[in-house]
Amino acid sequence: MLKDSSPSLAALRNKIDALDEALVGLIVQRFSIVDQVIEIKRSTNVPASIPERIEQVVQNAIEKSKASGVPEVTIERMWRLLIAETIAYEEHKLASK
Amino acid sequence: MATLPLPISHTPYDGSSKPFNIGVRPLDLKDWIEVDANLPSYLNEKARHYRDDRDQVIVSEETSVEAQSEVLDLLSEHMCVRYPDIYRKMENSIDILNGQFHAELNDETLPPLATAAKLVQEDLVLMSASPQGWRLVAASLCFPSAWNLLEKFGHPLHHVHAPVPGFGTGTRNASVIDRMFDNLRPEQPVMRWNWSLHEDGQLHHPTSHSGTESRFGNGDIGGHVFLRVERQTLRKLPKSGDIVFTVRIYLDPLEVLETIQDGHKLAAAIDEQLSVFSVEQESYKGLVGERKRLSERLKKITASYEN
Repeated sequence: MLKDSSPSLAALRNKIDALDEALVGLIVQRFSIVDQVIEIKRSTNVPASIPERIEQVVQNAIEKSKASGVPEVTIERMWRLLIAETIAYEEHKLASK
Repeated sequence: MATLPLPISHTPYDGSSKPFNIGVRPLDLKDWIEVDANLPSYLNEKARHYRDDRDQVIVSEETSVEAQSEVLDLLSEHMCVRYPDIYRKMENSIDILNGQFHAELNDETLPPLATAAKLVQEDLVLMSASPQGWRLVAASLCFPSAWNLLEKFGHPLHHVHAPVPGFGTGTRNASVIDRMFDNLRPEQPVMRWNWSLHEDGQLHHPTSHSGTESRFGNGDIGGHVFLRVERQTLRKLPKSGDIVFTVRIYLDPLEVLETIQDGHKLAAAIDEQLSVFSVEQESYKGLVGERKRLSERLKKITASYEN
């Protein structure tokens, strides 16, 4: 009988959980930088949403994921969600002080 | 064309709007269109082009007429609300400057976008989404800055931008612009600046300068160079989803920098930005063979403040 060398579902899930932990840490880091951006935007009267910057960020993500096998549309949707949440966070903070 | 020498209102060549960058920023809708004391001369010049070379300055695809009417509705409403001392809505027309100018809103001799353009100093271009990308489907373009409307009519953005270094088909800039057009929201118009140096104060410039001829005259360059500023806006139309692109031209002789506060800083900023142009960028801006003389003139303006 051949020995099955492929990882188990449980092991793969453990890997995904570890990646998610790293992802959450990166998102937290990203938002701590956003906090600094908010202060600059507040002092220079720059709005939270800047259409060109949004498209530059989306384009960066698409270019970096090219040839990865992940569909471009998936990357684009995920980044637009991340950006939308970031803008909502910025708008809330800019309006609250 | 006689225009009034007005104080410089916009100086994007101060380093805040680098050439060959997209540089789009959010626009407050109340600032969509600008009006100044040169309104009569701009409108007279448009009327002259409509009469003398209409086929060169007005284009329209039949399928875009409904969206053109949307632009006309939005623009006529906007101008009457924003500038009530200048624009007055009559039953089926708009009076401008107490009847000095008059635009019939149901003028069947013109496409609606051309009627809309009769109201303002801006040129108007309509872009529509298609499987090939955002296409130029209608325009009233009396004051082009070195581009020919008939060469661009019906073509998608990446074709329109093809001659611009770094903006042609397949470039990152082309992708970013396409995505920006796709995701523009009606409630968030945007604007950008463009600027260049021209050899005269004419508004109508449908041809580019790619040769090495002496563009700014022989000998002293003074008096032969004009700062040409384009204020461009993009607004997505709420009903049709098309995008109206406006371009307003401001012209000032280079010498004006000798007479205004911080003119020396502006001259130095222009000189610095021209100095980093690539060969392709220099050619696109029509400055081949002229950059050295321009630089000397700009340095002279800068030095005049130091003496």
